[in-house]
Amino acid sequence: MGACDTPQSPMNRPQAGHPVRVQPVGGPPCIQRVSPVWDDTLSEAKEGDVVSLHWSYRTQKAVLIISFLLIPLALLVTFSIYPFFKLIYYSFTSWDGLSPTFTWVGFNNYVQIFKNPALFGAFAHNFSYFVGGIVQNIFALILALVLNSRIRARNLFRTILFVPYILNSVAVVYIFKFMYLDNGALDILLNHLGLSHLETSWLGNDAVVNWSLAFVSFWQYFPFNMVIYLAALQSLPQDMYEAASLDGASRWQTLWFITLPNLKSIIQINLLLTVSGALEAFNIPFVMTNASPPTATFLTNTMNVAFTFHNFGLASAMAIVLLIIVFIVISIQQWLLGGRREAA
Amino acid sequence: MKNKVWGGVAAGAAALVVVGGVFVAQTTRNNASAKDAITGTITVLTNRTDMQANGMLKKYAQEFEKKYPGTHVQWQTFVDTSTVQAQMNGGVYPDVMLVLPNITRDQLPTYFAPLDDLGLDNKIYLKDWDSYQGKVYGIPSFANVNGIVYNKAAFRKAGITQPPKTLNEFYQDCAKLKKAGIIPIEMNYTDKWPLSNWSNSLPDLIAKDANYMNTLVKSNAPFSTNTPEGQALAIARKIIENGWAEKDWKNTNWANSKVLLAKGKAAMMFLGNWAVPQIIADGAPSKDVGFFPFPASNDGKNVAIMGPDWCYAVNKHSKHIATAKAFVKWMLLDSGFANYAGGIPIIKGQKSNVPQLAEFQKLTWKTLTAVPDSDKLTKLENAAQIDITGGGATQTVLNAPSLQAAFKQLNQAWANAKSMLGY
Repeated sequence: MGACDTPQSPMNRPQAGHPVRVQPVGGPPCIQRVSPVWDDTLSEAKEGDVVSLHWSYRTQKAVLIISFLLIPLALLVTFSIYPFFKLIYYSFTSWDGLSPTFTWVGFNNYVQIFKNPALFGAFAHNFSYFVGGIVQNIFALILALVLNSRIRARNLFRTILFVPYILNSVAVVYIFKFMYLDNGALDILLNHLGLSHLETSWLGNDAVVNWSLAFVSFWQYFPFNMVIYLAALQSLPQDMYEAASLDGASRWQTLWFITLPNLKSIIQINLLLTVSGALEAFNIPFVMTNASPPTATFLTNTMNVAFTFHNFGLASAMAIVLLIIVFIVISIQQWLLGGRREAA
Repeated sequence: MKNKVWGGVAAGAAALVVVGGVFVAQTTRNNASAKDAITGTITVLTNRTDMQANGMLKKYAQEFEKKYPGTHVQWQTFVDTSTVQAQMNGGVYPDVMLVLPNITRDQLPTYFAPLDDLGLDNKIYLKDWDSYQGKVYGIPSFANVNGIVYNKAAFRKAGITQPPKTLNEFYQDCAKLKKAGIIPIEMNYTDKWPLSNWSNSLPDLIAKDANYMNTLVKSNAPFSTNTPEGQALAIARKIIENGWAEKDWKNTNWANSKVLLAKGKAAMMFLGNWAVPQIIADGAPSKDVGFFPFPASNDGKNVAIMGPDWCYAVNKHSKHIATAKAFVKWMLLDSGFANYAGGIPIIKGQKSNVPQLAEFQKLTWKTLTAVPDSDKLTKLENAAQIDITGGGATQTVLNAPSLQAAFKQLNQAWANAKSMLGY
């Protein structure tokens, strides 16, 4: 006798307003079969008990899914999708951020971005974040490999190394601001190491400043990459390694032929995050140098255009252009690294 | 089956609309009730986060509530105007507002109620600052004059007995201060806004004309060593090139530099009278803090320009317009805020009790009244993306490889914007 053959007991009879499945977990959906023949005579139901039962199982499922999705979807539409379409619309106007009127200017804003070297040239300053991001990934991967091996107190090291990522980003920037001061911590350290000839104005020297900032980004975000690598390493099946060691593979061979190929998709994801982060560098120059001319990035310029020069139309167009550039760069990267996932 | 799923979707969508409707209904304002009675709760916008921290705002609210029983004052502070701007876009903003810098004159009636019925029009300075078509929409909370705030102890230590009267004397004093191991003048490059006086006020002082900046729209190359604008920026650059600014001048910190000035490790800052109480608050004895007009020329006739601080305005959609207006009037007449802030009272005949301002007056040849930037100038600056008002232009000049290179870049952008706007 299957679960559905049992007569409906009052216990699992669906109540009004609770259109839920009635059979025990794991059994076949039986309410579908029951509901078409369900009527007042069969059920001896009290008034108001049966309304929901005229909904089929599928409908109930749909209602359930939709009602669960309602809040996240409403939030997504309100804060992401609607603003995105507004952004596209603004990018074709000369809106000043306040006025109730929007003047349509066509592609004028887009043309301006590419004509103005001060706006577009800022991508040169993003380059240091890009290089920093690559180094950051290599460093994070090495640390993850070390932490995945059997070393003493490895949980302690994992925790310590993850701390920079948990710290408040603005606080981190302030800490480094003090380190980079004239005669600050970094200069004192260099003095003690007998390297005082390397001292410079870390935030004042135009040739150095973007690297100083990129280092902050490196220090703050490598733990994030590291944790992702570590999680991936721990999920690799051990039998492959056993097989490799039985075949007499050296540690380097295991790393090169087993670990790295298996990590390929994770490396790609990390690089994707890093590259888009480099193109969108914002908070560090914004807080540390107030995005002064030699440190302005494309995104700080966008902010400036919107909130200093009150040209929200142009700023919206810049946001769209940045989006397209990120998309193109990531596509190139995927293409270079071979987009398809290779089974090891 | 598909139909049923879509039915579910429709039901969900209907629910969304209902939820949305509730939000809309909540935000719709009810304008009908009690407009003329001085009662009810008003929200007041202020930039003075420091006064929220030290309890002064609360004290003002209590005093006002005592005078007008049945009222309640809630303060809203802000650090960044963009948050307030977002509120204005949404249509729901504080009852007592401050006129944001990017609101053009013709937009004033869109957002604010006229304040002429306060009966203050003939009693205040700078009445026309935020007026449109003969109606006053904004009244300055107090007035400021720009000049150099300095530490008298630092001057004495460098052997300087009185503030410089000419530009050459100013340069000599800078050299003396540097020799004495004191930072002659703090530029506050990183914070950018303290640089705005060099690009936006000093040119007027050099020209001895409060309307000089508005004439820039006529020029195709306003940045040159022949124009007051260019000369002002050249003075700033000269200070940097001679090492008279902070040693690490591209890595500065406003809070820190106030302390340096208060301690006499730095001697001067080109700001306004409003900075005097802040330096005193950072530990300098009041008798050691001085204030003099910028010696913009070598003829010894130094002018000062009196301009407004933030201007009060009243939200025209406010439920309690009468209360909001009463609060503005109370702040101007009875609160004593101008003196607390170290500013010049906006009400004619009200005396300032700040000794530094009296000292400043004696050294000033003439005080001119500021002229607001024309909408034409603002539009041109925005189109050229040259931040004269906010100090960004000074940053560009200080950071450029040479003065001439900076001028060339700025003039180019200026000319392009002019042709774009068809000026």
